[in-house]
Amino acid sequence: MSDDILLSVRDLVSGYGSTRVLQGIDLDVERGSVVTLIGRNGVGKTTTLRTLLGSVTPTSGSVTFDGKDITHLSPEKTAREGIALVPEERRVFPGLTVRENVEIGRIGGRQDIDKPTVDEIIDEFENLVRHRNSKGANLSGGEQQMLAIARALVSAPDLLMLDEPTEGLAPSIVKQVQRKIKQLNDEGATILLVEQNVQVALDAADYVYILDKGQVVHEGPADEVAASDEILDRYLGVSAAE
Amino acid sequence: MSVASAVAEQVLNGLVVGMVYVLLAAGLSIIFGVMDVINFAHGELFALGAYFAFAIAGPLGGAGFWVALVVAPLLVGVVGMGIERLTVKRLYGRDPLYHILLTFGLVLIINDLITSVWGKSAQPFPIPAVLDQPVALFGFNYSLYNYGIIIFGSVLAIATWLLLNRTRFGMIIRAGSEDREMVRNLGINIDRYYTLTFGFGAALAGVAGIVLGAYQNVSPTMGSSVIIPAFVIVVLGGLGSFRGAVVGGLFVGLVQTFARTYAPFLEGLIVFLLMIVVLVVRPKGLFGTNIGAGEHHDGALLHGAGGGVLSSATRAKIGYAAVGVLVVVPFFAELTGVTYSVTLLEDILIWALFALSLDLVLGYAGLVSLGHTLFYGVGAYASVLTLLHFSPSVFVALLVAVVVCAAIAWSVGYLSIRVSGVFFAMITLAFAELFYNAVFKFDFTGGSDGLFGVDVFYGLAGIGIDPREFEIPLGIMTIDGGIVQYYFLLVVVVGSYLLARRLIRAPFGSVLQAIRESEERASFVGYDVTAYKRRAFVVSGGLAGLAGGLFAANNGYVAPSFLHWVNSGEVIVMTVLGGMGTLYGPMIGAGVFVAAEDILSSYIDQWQLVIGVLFVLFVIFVPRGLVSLPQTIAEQPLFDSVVRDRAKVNDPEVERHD
Repeated sequence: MSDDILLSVRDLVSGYGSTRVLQGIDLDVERGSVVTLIGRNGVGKTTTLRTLLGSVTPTSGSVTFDGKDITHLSPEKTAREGIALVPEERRVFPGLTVRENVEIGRIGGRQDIDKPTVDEIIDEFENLVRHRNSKGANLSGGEQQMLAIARALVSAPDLLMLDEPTEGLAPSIVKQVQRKIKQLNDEGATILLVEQNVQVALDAADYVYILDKGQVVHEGPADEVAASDEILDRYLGVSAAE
Repeated sequence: MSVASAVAEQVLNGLVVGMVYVLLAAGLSIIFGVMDVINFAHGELFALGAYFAFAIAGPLGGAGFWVALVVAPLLVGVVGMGIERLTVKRLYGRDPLYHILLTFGLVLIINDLITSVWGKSAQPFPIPAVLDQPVALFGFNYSLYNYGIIIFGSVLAIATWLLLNRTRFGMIIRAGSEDREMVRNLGINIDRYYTLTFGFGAALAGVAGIVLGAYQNVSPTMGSSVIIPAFVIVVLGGLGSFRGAVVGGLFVGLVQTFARTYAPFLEGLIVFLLMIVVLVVRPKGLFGTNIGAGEHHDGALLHGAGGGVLSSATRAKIGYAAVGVLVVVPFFAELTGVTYSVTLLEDILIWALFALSLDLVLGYAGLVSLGHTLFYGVGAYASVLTLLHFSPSVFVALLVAVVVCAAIAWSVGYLSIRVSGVFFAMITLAFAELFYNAVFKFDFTGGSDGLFGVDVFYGLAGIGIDPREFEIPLGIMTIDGGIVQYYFLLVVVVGSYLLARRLIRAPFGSVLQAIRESEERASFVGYDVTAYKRRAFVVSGGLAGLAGGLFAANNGYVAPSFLHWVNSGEVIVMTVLGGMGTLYGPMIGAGVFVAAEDILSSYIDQWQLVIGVLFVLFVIFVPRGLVSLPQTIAEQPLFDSVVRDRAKVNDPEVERHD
C-alpha cells in the first residue's frame, strides 16, 4: 500500500520569520492521482507548496517523497528529485522565447532520466505551437499559463504541483487548463493542485484536503466533498449549487 | 592632412577608447544585470589585468604579450570568482547598497595590493613589435595596434553577445537575471552560474586593462579613472543591457575624443551632462527594459536602530559625557602639549556632521546618495568664495554654503528622486562628478589648485572675534584663536545633531521611516513619498554643505579633491560602519574611521588594505554597524548573530518582493 504513496507529509510546521503559517499539516499524495488543496485566502495553501519545494524552511515535521526524506532540501535539490512547480502568477521568463523557457525547464528536474524534447512538449500545446519564438512577455495570460505548465512538464516530473493555475484567466481558458490537467492525469501524471476556484478544484480532484488556519480541517474523496453542502458551507462559505 | 582625414583619425581614436569602454562596461553591465551587483571594484580588476599582463609579458620578451593577453584575463577571472565566492555571494538578497559598500572596500584592498607589489608610479608597457608600426589607410598613417584594438574589441564583443544569446550558459543567466528564484525552483544551481558570470565579467575587465595598458601605460590610478565613465556608460545604455553597453561605450569613447580635440572646455563635462539628460528623459537608459533592472528592490536595508542594549536615558547620559569630554579636551591638549589631538578632533567632528547629513537620506529615507560629496565640496567652495569676495564673517559664509547646497539638493532631488533606487545612486554620482570636473575648468574656482589663503572672522559687522588676534592668557596656558575655532565647530555640530534629532522625532521623521520600510505602503496611506524624500534630501544637502563650509573655513582652503567620489564612498562607509538609521551611529562611525585612518596611516604603509579588509568584514558580518555590537555581544555569540542576520535576509516574505 505504501508503495502507492508518492508524497507523504507529516505534521509540517513552517512560516515566515516569526509568523507561523502552517500549524502541522498531514497529507498524502497517491501515485497517479490528482490531490487538491482548497481553502479560503491565507490559510496556507501556497505556503504548503513553497514548503514542500523548500523555498520556505519548515521548523518541524517531515516530507517524504518516493521513500526519501526531502524535508530540508533546497528548492533546486527538491526539483532535481522530480518535483516540478507551476507557480502562482505563472512566472514565465519574460525576456526568453517560448522555446528557451521550455529548454530551461528541461535543464532542470531529474538528471537521471530521458526527457521529452522541447519541440515534442511544445507540440502538445496548441496555443504555444504558433509562438515558438515569441518572447514570454508577449504571450497572453492563458498562453503564459500553458507555457508554465510546459516548462514544468518537459522535466518529466514525478510530481507536478500547480499553484492556482486558473487565476485571472477567462472562462474559456480556464476550461483549457482543466482539460490539460485531466489529460495529464489520464496519461498517468501525479498532480498536487492548489485551487481557489472550488468548482475547478472538485472537478479535477480525486482526493481533497480542506485547509483552514494552517491545518487540514477536512479530507476525503472529491465526489464526497462535492456532494456535501455542509462541508462546503462550513469551510469554504460556498455550496455546490453555486 | 585634410579635414576629412583629421576627422577620420579622431573617429578611430574614439573607437579605440570606445572599445576599451565596451569591454569594461559589458562586464559591469552583465554582473549588474544578472546579480544586481554594482561592482565598484570593476576598475581595479581592470587595472589588475593590466598589471598581470605587465608582469607576465616582461620576462617573456617577444611573444610575452600574446601569452599575457590569454593568461592575464584568466587570472583576473579567477580572482573575480574568488571575490564572488568569498564576499559578494554572502550578500545576495540584501539591498544593492551592500554590494556598493563591499566592492568599495575591495577597491581599497586591490588598489593597495597593486601599489605595494608594483609601486606607485606609472610604468610603460610596450606593445609587441609586430603591431608597433604605422599603417597607411584613408590617406593617413595610423598605428596597427590601434586598428588591432578595434578589431579585437569587436570580435570579443560579438563573442560575448553569442555567449549570452546562443548558449545554454547565456540562457540560464538571462533567465536568472529575470527571476532567480524561479530558476532555482526548476532545479538549476544558479549560484554556480553567478560565480562563473562574475569571473567572466572580471576577465573582460582584465582584457580591457591589458589593451589600454599597452595603449598608454600601466598605473595604479588607471582603475579609478575608468570606473566612473564605465558606470556612466552602463547607465546611459541601460542597466543590464549588453547592447546598451556596446553602443554606450563606443558613443562615450567618440564623444570624449571629439570633445578633447574640438571643445576642450566640455571634456570631462559632456559625458555627465549626457547621462543626466538621458536619465531625466528616459530613466531606464537608451536600451534598458523594464524587465529586471531597477524594478525589484529586494532585501531590506539593515539599520542599527533598536540595536542598542542601553536605554535612551543611559545613551543620553553617555552623549552628555561625550560632549563634556569634547569640551575639556583643548585644555588637556594645551597642558600636555598634544595640540594635534585637537586638529584630529576637528576633522572627526566635521566628518561626523557629514555622515549625519548622509544618514538622514540613507538611513531614514532609504535613498542611496552615491555623490554626497557634491554638497560637501560645493559647501566648501561656496563658503570660501563668500569669505574671499563678500564678507569675512564665518557666519555669513556658512549660511551661504547651506543655502546654496540646499538649493542644489532641491534641484538634483527634483530631477532624480522620482527615479528610484540604483538610478538615484547613479544620478547623484553623475552630478558630483560633473561638479568635480567643472571646478577644474573655471578661474573663479581656482582650477586644479583650488582656493586658499582665507581668513575668517567669528562675528558680524565688525563685532566678534578675529582668531588671528585673539589671545587670553590663563595661568600657565593661553586661549587662542584655535580654541575659538574648535568650540565654534563643536557648537555647530552638536546643534546640527539636535536639529536632526528634532526633525526625526517629529511626524516628518516618522513618515520618512515609514517610506524607508515600505514606499508603496506609505504612498497608499496617502503620503506624497517623493515630496518627503526631496525635503529630507534638501536638509541633508544643507547639512553636508555646512560640513564642507566648516572644513574650508577652518583650514582656510578648498580644492577639487573635496568633490572627488572617494569622499562620497568614505562617508557612506562611516555611516554604515557606525550604524545607519540612528543619528549617533554614523557620528561614531566617523570618529572611528577618521581616527583609524589617522593612526594606521602613520604606522603602516598598507593602511588602505587594513581599512579595506576591516570594512569588508564589517559589511558582511556586522551590517547593522558598531551601534549593534553591544546587543550582539550581550545576547549571543557573534557567530549566532551572523546566522540570524542572514536568516532574516533570507526571509521569504522579503524575497517575495523580488
